[in-house]
Amino acid sequence: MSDETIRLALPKGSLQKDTTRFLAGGGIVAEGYEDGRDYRPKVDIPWLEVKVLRPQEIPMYVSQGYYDAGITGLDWILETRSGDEAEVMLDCNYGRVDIVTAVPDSWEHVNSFDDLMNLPDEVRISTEYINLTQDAVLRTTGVEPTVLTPWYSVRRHRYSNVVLILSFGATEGKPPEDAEAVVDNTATGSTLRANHLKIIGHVLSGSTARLVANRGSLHDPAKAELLDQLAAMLEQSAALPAGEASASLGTHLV
Amino acid sequence: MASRDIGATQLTPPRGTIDYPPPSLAALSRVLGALENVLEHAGYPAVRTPMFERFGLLAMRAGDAIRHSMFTFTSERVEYALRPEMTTPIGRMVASGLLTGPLPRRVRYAAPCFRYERPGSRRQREFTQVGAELFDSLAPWGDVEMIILASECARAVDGDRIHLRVGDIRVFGSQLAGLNAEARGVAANLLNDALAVEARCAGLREVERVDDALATWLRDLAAGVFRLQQRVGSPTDETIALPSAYTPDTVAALARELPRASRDATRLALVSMAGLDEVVASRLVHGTTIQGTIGEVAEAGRSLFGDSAAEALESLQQVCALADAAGARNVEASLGVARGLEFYTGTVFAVVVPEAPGAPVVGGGGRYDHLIEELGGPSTPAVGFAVEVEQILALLGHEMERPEPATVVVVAAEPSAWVRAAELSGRLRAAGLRAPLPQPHSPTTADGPAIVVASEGPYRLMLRGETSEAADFIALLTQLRAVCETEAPE
Repeated sequence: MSDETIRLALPKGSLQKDTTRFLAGGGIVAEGYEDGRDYRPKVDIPWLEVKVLRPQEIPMYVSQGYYDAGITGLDWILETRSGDEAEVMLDCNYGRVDIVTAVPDSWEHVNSFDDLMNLPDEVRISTEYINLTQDAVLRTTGVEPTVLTPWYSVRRHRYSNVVLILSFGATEGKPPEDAEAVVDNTATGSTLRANHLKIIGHVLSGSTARLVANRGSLHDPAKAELLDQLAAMLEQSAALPAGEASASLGTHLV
Repeated sequence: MASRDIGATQLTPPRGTIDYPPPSLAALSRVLGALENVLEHAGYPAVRTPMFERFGLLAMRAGDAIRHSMFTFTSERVEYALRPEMTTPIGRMVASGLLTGPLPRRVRYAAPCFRYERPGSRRQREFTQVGAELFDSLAPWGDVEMIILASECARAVDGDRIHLRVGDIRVFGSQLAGLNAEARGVAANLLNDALAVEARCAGLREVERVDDALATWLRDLAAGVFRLQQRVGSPTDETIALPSAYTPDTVAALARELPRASRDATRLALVSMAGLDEVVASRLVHGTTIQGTIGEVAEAGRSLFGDSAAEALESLQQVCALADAAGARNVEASLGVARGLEFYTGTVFAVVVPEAPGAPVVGGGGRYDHLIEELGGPSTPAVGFAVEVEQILALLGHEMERPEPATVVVVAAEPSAWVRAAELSGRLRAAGLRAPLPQPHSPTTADGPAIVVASEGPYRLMLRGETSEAADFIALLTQLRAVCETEAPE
């Protein structure tokens, strides 16, 4: 065994509890991780270094090679368009959410993403998933929507009646005054229902936590061996083998 | 790093852009050259500006159609856009005092510009504008100069198919005078859309063949009218029904139906969305259809708009009469030319191909007397026009695709003769002939005249295939002989 180490990023937030259990099932104890008091949990494996980051950030850190591997949701791997440089090694099969489109439940005439796109007036969509939503709009209408974020803006009001507005949270509270629709993650739909929203389509179905690895690390023989070992340990913990649990981009858009 | 499968999508150019292999680029260059030649001889020296500018500058006087089509990016906290047109960047040069010299100041440009276009649009997202700007020239003389130049440009690239439609923006502008800026913008957008439907459908009533691009383009046009109908609550039995298949018959039917539906919906929208009076809205919508000889148009305009448009119509008559007297060809008057309501201040004109499917607008221009002052420069009356080279090229088809042949080919008879052949080809190039360097393993025959060079001994002249006309050929032979008789330099 070489002196090589693997830097692993673990998610902070809603995935934390399940990730602790998932790691334990593979024989890895991350001390101080579950209760959130330590951003640098101790692990009893000499070749493994662990750091806690937001799940939204993990795909970028891994794809850039700042971390060799990370555990984060498929939704954020796709949203950050990190798939080219970050390879999914394992479907961890927990933290299942759907990324859905929802509108006010009083809108009887809008029951699909197509219906929403075909509304004659401006359609403002509040979302944290700007890229996934933009892809969905493009695939449905063929026309680029207007996108408003603090970092960049695309102005296409003249060509498209769809406006995507970046949400920094509390997305479900935006309609009807500040958005006509939301694209948000949901496990059971109860939060959306409580806010008088109804689901009219899935942008991404069955997003679960995934173990991702930097492609450069996978091409380094010493790191690849350790990453394979890590995946093998954790694979025992996943209820189903990798790939069997399915996630798919909304089929109504294809 | 592992090797990557690039994939077919990476091998195609980005949507809305084109690769130009040599024959296509030669065609593009011919059109460019012909247009620039007209402007050069009219006393318009070329200028060049950056490919990108600050977004705020480009958006300042742009209508929504341009503002919402810019490709933007941010660097060092400044938002930039690839230039969507050339008038504003050149206006910046003028406002900054960079353009000096005797009045009036004339400049021309030939430059790539960039705009987002819907997928399937017949316009490219990267396109080449050739145009002219004339500063410090008052109406009507500057306006007429632009119309004459545009007419000469049209003649230089195509005989008779390209026409000019001349209007005056103040005819419509006078009807919107009471609106605030926002309502005026809404009205301008509605009218511009309605005008586009009128103009494009006029060229679709006798289409012989419907290709995918035309079907997509028409579907977009119809969808725009449909959305407007939905917004203004048009009765269900009046809403546009899209055909299930696009054939010459269904296209002709849609081309008849769309303008009527567009006019009705635009009239309702001008009232409900822009707050216009119903009578004024009806007049404006009717106005979009008025075109013909200047006499007909002026009379119809006066009867429709009365005294409020009298000055603009008088100016339009004067401009058209002068352009006609000065020999501008294929010039018609049209109140339906009201492009750039936010930008232009007087005469406007569109360069159109009325007989082509969809009557494409391949260029346009007009007077914009406020731009330079609004950019921070001195008050400067200005007028200009531009045409889009790719659209003209599409109209001309493959007529312009003639490869540029080598004037003379030098062939090395064997590899050992290469140095001697290369040296000869260099002397031919220095003498002004097009003579590629020889390749030792290339065929020993050529379509045109070729000089076969052996390791030693005299050059041999080889004639194969088609040749130039006799007079050109004799001149070429004379040149060749002069070069071949020259001793190689030591």
